[in-house]
Amino acid sequence: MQTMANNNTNNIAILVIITSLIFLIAPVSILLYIYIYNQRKKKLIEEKEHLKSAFKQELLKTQIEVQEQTLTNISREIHDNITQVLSFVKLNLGMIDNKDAGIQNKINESRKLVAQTINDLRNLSKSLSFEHIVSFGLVKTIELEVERINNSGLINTSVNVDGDVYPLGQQRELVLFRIFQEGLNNTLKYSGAPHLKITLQYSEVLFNLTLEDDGAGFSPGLLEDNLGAGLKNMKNRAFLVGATANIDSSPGEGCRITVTLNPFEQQLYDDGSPTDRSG
Amino acid sequence: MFKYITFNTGAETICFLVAVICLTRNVSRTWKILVPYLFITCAVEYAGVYLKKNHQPNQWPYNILLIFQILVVSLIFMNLFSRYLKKKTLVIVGVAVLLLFYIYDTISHGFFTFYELTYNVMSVLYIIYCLYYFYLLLNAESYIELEYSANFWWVSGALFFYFGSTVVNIFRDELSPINMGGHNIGYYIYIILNIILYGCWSYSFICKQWLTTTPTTSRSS
Repeated sequence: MQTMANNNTNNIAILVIITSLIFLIAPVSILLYIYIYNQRKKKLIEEKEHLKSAFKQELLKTQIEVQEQTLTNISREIHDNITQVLSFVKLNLGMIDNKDAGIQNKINESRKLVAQTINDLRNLSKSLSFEHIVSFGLVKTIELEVERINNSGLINTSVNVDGDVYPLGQQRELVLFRIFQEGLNNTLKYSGAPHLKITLQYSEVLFNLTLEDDGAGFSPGLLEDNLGAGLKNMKNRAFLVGATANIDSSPGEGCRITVTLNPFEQQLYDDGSPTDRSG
Repeated sequence: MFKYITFNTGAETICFLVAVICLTRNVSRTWKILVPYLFITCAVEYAGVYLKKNHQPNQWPYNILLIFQILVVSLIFMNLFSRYLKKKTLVIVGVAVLLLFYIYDTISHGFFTFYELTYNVMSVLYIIYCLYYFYLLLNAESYIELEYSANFWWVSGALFFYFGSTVVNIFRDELSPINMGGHNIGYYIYIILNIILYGCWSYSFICKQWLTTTPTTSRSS
């Protein structure tokens, strides 16, 4: 009788232990499932992020290519059409032989103005054209642009080049020049600065482009607003070639834009050149 | 003094100390409430050991603890759900139901008998909450680093404990006659469950203080 009772107790004990194990295994299985599912989700989200980033880069690349193409077309139009017409106007003016000294003076003055306009347009054409930037290189193109701006008398601009100049690659130089133009444009439009200092630093591992003005400056919060679209654009362009653009400014303290690039880091936009679709 | 140190009181005391270190600063008020709750738990556990050693009924302190358990654990679940759900109805209804069972248990068999019905309903409800939390976690658009997620480890500890304690409670009558080393087998199962629970909770508090990761959302470059 006692043996039966013992057997019964043992059976219950085994049953309890088995049930406990099942109840222990159940949460373990649930947690394991959650862990695996979460890992898959993590992988999917990372892939999605990667695709998003790649898409964003591609989109930016396309935008810049379209913009470059448009600028090149405008540049050609200025060079091949408008300046040609103006040269013809200048020639015609030169052929006018008027006895009246006053009128002749006016004609000569007009010829000079037309010649100056042709010259300005040619320079503008060069700064817009991808081909000119590629053929002159970044430093020379910036120097030409600075010369053009100084001639206009809008602002007093200086360029300093530190270190031994080395090529950064066509695409990078083009993008860096566009960033420079954007910065220059912002300075002219908003800062009211009398001076602009441009520095290009070529070191063994880093390239730095700095634009520093002594104008009105702006609050850092502006970068978050729509007003800072141009500044954001600079950052986006820099990101495209693997550079970083830092913008430091505060009201009354001027503005400092620094673009830092590791010339040995390869980026999506480094290879190839913008397609010339104009034929 | 040392005669009051058992596996259960030891695990609870360590967890309480970890909570004191980790949850007194830089965490939300809801989590801070776990510090006094664990203090009450330790006090009840020590009182339970004392009463048992003095051959007095020791179930009434656990009935007192039960009401804190209902309120505090529900509050934490409400906090966990709030990341995914706006409505708090689920947890509020749950608390109301448990309090009704608590009153029923008090009226039906007095304060000195363990409130088994309330405890069983609470365990099942908390298992549902744990599973629902995991469901919400899996359905969320973001992912979290589970290894360092305080919330995940807290819920995991609760799931293990309430799953296991449900079995012990279901088989309570069958377990009572099976004695091993002066205790019935349910006592040993509870020791394992307590160690798992307070181990998970202690790690959760450590994560809360130092390692907690926020959900990863879309990152803009």
